[in-house]
Amino acid sequence: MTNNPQRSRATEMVGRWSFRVSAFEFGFVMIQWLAFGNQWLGSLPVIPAALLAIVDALLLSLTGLFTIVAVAAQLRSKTLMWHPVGGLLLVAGASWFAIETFTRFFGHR
Amino acid sequence: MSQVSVAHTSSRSHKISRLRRASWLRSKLWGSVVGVLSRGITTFENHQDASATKPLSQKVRLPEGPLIVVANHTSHADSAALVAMIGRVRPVLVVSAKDYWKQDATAEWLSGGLIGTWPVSRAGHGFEDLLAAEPLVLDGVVLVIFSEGTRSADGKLQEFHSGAFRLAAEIGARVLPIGIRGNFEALPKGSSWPKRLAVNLSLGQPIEVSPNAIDVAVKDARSQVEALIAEPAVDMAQFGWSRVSRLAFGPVGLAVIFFWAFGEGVFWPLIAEMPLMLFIVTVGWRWRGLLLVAAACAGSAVGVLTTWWLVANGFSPPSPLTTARMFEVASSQLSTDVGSAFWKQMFNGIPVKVYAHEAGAMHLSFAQVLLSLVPRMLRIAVIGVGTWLLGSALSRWLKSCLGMVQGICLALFPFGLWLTVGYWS
Repeated sequence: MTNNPQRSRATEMVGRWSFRVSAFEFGFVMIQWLAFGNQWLGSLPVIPAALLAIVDALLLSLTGLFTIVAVAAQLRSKTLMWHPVGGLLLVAGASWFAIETFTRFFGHR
Repeated sequence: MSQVSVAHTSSRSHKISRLRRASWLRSKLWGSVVGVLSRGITTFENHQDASATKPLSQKVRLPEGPLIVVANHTSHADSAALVAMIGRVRPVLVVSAKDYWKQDATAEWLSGGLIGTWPVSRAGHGFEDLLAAEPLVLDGVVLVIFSEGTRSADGKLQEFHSGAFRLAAEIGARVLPIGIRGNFEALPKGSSWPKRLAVNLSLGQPIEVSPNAIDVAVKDARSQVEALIAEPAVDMAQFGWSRVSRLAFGPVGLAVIFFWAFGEGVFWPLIAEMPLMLFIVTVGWRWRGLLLVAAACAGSAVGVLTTWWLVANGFSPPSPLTTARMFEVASSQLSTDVGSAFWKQMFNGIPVKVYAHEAGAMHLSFAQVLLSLVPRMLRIAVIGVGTWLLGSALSRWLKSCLGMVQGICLALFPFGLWLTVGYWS
């Protein structure tokens, strides 16, 4: 149940889930950054890189949209929890790492 | 005066066309959500005729003219299911409780933006709110009203309020009773995550409401809905799954897999595993899975050997979506170490036909090419068996949404191809 009468249970739930999903996505991208940076998948893993680039683009877009909606909903309710803000920061960080990983891989042949 | 009238009419028709587009988009959104979270929505156009069923992908025939839909209400999923079904045929709005869905930004955004609601007060003046929808209904918008007023806590049909019928009588609309089955078991009041069950929407007979016989219409609609939801929901999912499964168990599936893999070894630009993955998810724990993997391996091996032989004898087959750099790298790897070159091909994105071409150009022996096929076979086997196991483990979930999953994968495939070809260009 909601602790704050100004926001509904839906707003709180969306806020918490935005953080959880973003944290998962951040971890997923970090593993890729380490794997491609340290050549854990060999020297030319073009197929896994293409596959992961597509998956990341999809997941990061959806997660980013979700966290933005979560923050916007809380701002309109005038009560901001830390979860969606943390989620937004994690999505921003994950996007940076993903772009760094794949521009390095596809840019430097 | 006439100019004002024309402007007013134009603004209304503009509003209706916007609502039509929004309803269509919402129907696609909720159709996809329900497709993933449930075992699919099936509509029964005629309750007496079990063969008159339509999966969500097919449009349902709704009565012409101003229409108000009255349905039983046991779950939040009811609105999603009705919007998914009606929205692809006509613009639709769902009457919702103003006090519940206007609590805050998220609730308002969910209801107004994603569902398309018409908020009505439950604390007096509710009928005035309903009457305000008259121009929209007369212009073709289907208004969905849950006449019980709230979700049933025990799944049983409650008494109907008369608002929908009074509105229908007032504006000359017909009332279409619809029975929703399966949603109470999947997502009852108080639960937050749905169970994956089938949802059935059964259409009743449209009712003409006379202003003098509103009670009769209310009773008629309630008894129709009661009859429509009397039986438990029927699981009609698996249309696409059964079709693909039939192909996988027949000679056609085997031939498609073999010739696709063979073609990929000679000139075809799409990977050998594509049809294998499509078919093998549907075979379950049967030995047929191994036969399909073997067909792909055999097709690929014959394709590679054919290209090697053709090039060695002076004929070079076409190689679409390949680049000069791919040939250079393949040639350099083969001249360094034939054994390891095909291992490197497994994940580097250079098509196997390029390696086969260069092997022919370098006049490698039959035995050398045959031995180098081991990693190729291994990749097909690992991907094939992996998809087979995954498909069998997830079959309960995949059965109702195989077409959608395959569609998403096929839509994304060109991007992967573009990245891979771009890397080597």
